[in-house]
Amino acid sequence: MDGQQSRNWTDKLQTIDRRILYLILLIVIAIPTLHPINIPNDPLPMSRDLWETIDKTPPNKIVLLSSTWTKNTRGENQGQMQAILNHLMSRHIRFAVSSFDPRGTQVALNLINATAVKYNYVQGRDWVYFGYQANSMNYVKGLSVDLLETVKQDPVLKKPLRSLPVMNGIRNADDIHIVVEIAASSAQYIWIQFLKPGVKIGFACTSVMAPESIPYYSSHQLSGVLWGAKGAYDYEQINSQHGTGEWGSGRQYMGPLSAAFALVILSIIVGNVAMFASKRKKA
Amino acid sequence: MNWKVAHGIWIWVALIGVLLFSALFIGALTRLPHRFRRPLMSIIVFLSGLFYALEYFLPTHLLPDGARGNFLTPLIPNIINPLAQDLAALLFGLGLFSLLRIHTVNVTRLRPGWSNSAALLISAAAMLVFGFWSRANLNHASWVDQVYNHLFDGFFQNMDAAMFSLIAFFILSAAYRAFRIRSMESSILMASALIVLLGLSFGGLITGWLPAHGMGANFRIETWSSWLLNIISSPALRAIDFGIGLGGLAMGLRIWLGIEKGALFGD
Repeated sequence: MDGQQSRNWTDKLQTIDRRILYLILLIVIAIPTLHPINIPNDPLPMSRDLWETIDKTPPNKIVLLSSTWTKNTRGENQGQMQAILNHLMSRHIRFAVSSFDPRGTQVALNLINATAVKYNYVQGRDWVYFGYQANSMNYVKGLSVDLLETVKQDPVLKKPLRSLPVMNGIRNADDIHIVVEIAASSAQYIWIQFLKPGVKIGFACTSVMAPESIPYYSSHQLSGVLWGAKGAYDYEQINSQHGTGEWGSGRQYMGPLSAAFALVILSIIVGNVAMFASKRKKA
Repeated sequence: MNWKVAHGIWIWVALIGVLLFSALFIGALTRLPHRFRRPLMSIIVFLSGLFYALEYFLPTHLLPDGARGNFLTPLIPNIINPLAQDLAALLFGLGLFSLLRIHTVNVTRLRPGWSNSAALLISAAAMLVFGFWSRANLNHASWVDQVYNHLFDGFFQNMDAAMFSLIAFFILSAAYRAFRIRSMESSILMASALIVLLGLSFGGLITGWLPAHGMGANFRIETWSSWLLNIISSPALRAIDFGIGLGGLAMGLRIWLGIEKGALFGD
């Protein structure tokens, strides 16, 4: 009878209704979202390297942000882009923005316009918009030869790039200090393959894409990498240490994310314990 | 040689001219006898690839704009990139036309699931109208922008995020049911996954009290996580990438030389 009850208990644990798991996850995420908790963090060297490379942008060069993400990965990419924008604007570094995703352009513009108000950044004077680039390979190769002819105009201002003060002294890829690809996919390969050698490349990506980029970071083909939500948290932490930005969604999301990870780890352990207990009873 | 930006009435002249030319060109292609289609495609693909091969392999010199290249290099920003952008726009139109044709037939014939097709058509029409009205025409009322922002930022973006968020629930369910230790390999995989997971989240809460440098640092979860990623995972990824690169090179050569019997050249 006792053995029968034990077997039922382990079997029940293995075949638990998925809706109960969903409810537990909902509660586990809701608590740290409503009552934020600070998770201790030690920024990764690859995050520090990206911050330092951007920070060393000379006044005669620009930073090119490639915003190839949409709202479905905002938990990771939005925090990264926000932290990078805070850094650029607080240091008065000129930058340009383009996208390989037609939806990514609007997302980037919304974020930049909201941040620009705080730092008094003006489009055309302090930053410029290169628009959606449907053909990534030719765009990247074209930048290396003649940037002003490849992009031609700011599609929002509807003015030629040559007429914009932000483009003073900028002619081709030699005048770009670093390209930072902020993406949900593996868009960094386009830059690694086709951008003129010598121009630095940074990559801010989702966690699932990050392991693929480590070999390129190790070989210095990538100057730095932001690893998902932790990358955003890292960048915010480095920003706060240097007074180049405020805390944002990176730190805010780390609590719920860690709680969800803890639940996943716990569920794997419980699932395996139940399986072994069930096997022992059957034996 | 360079494309010029059209202004005023010439925008409409250019637009109508391009549409007419495209219609005639596509019409001529569809009337081409079947036996000529494969050689024609092979020639176009070979010439397109040849341009990039020559541009890459021919000797380079300093160009007037300060960049290095040969006589083909300036064609990329001036001619090839605008052409490629136009081709992408044409493909967007082709995709939209195909989508609308299928779903319009679904609605008119009341096929099963026609209401979903109707929702797609209405959504696409709304985004098209307000998207063009808001972005292409600078002299429009402010409510047009508000409607477009509600559609894109309010509806589309949030639904997109909500769909993606559902993955978290499936991951938890899968982790609970499927991630079982049944062999030595799966044990190693699970241990590695847990260490990396902890290293990138709340590992600092568990071993953050240990020193960041020296012997003690070797026992921090972050150190283990970094070791697994840089020493174990990275070389494996390099090997996989190398294999993919060789495979891609072989496939690229087969397509370029017209000997690939795939979808492009198949019967």
